[in-house]
Amino acid sequence: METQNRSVCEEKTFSILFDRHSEVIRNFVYYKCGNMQQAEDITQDAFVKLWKNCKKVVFEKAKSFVMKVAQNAFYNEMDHKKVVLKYNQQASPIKIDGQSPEFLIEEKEFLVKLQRSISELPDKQREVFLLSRKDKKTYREIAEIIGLTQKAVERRMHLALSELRGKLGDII
Amino acid sequence: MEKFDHIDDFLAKWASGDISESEREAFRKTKDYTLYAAILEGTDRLDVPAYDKEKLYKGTRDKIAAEGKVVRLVPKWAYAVAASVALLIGYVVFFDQTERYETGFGETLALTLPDGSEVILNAKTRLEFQKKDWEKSRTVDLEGEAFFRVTKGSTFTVASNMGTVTVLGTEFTMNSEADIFEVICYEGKVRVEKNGLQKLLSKGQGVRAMGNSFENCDLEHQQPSWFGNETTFHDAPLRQVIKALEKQFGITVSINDVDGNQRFTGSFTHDDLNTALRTVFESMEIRFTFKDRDTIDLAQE
Repeated sequence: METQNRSVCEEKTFSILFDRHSEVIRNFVYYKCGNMQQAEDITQDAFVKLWKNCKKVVFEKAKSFVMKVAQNAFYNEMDHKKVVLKYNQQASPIKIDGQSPEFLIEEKEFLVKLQRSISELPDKQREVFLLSRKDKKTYREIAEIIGLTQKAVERRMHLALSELRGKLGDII
Repeated sequence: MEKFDHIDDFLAKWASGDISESEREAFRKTKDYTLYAAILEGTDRLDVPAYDKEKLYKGTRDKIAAEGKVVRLVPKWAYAVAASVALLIGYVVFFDQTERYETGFGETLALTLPDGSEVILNAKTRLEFQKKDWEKSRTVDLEGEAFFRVTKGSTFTVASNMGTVTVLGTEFTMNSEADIFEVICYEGKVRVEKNGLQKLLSKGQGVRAMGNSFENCDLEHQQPSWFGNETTFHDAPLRQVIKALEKQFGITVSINDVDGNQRFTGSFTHDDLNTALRTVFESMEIRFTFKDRDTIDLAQE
């Protein structure tokens, strides 16, 4: 790959890194803290730090460097809000295997409950669940982002789903 | 769902499409399937706030530019002030220079100490050391189980509630918690100390504390038994095996009337709780029942 021997201090290389990794960092921090302003600030600061250390960080390590900085910044600040994703009003109705289950007649109500249930998940489960479902990251990639084994990520995903089932179970 | 209840990553595998057609068919027939499918479908309809990459990138460049300017605008006398502030901050930070590493259930973590020594923590393990004193005395505190590959240099000590290990450039594992203390040496020499007892281990030797004495435990492999996808035991007390199961899978096991000192030789997989429980307990004629999804009751058959 042509980028391999490039210095992170080159603006072009730096912008490639930003292009590839900034969105998932922002979302990852957002899933943890629910504060978009904070998530964007932390993402920017992580890249500022990367720029400052560009002589020391090689291209291949840049990704894990910014991830790590963002995570540490998050632990330092820890300003928690609820993570509430908005639901999409225009989307077509939910169908499971071509049918619309009875409990989805009040689909909007289901989505509101789902929204709330996701926001009530423990942070560790929510970040895995949303990185997987919304950012379409594989469990291996998530493991790399969070710094866990893939197996541990899969367990958290399993727990998240079974927790959501528990919370939503009473509407059936 | 009953059938899948105790496979702790089944839903993750299902959600990512990583299961066989027959498993998928069987799951589709369970009563909760529709709800699970609706959760995924519903989540697709939730939106993450829009991402304006250019704006964020521009903001980042602005911050970089702004920080650059600050440095140039500072008059010279300010450096003296800055230096004393830095000193003060340095002093405050100095006080707590404890580095802490911790693993959760089923996790392992590899880390490098300041001298280049490598450590791999097994599940549910905590390791601490003082950065400040590191040059003078290489000492780490350990609770749980870890593998050490120590670089040559001054004496390296691993301390725990149960006992202490001192080494000079070597590879070994140490497992220390409530009533377990086990040290295995893979390379070089280590000295083990516990309540006044002492023993020197060479390559290939291991030792396990039983009450107030040491017993030898043979080294079966070239590397710790829990590297890879299973944990292996050789003539180990059952309570040690149970502890390892608990830490691997995040479960609680009630031992009840079962004798925790009976010996187990064999290994269990890290991939699947049910299989792991069966390999350990069925061979020892112990019945296990799930009280709930992570509490297990034992009874001697």
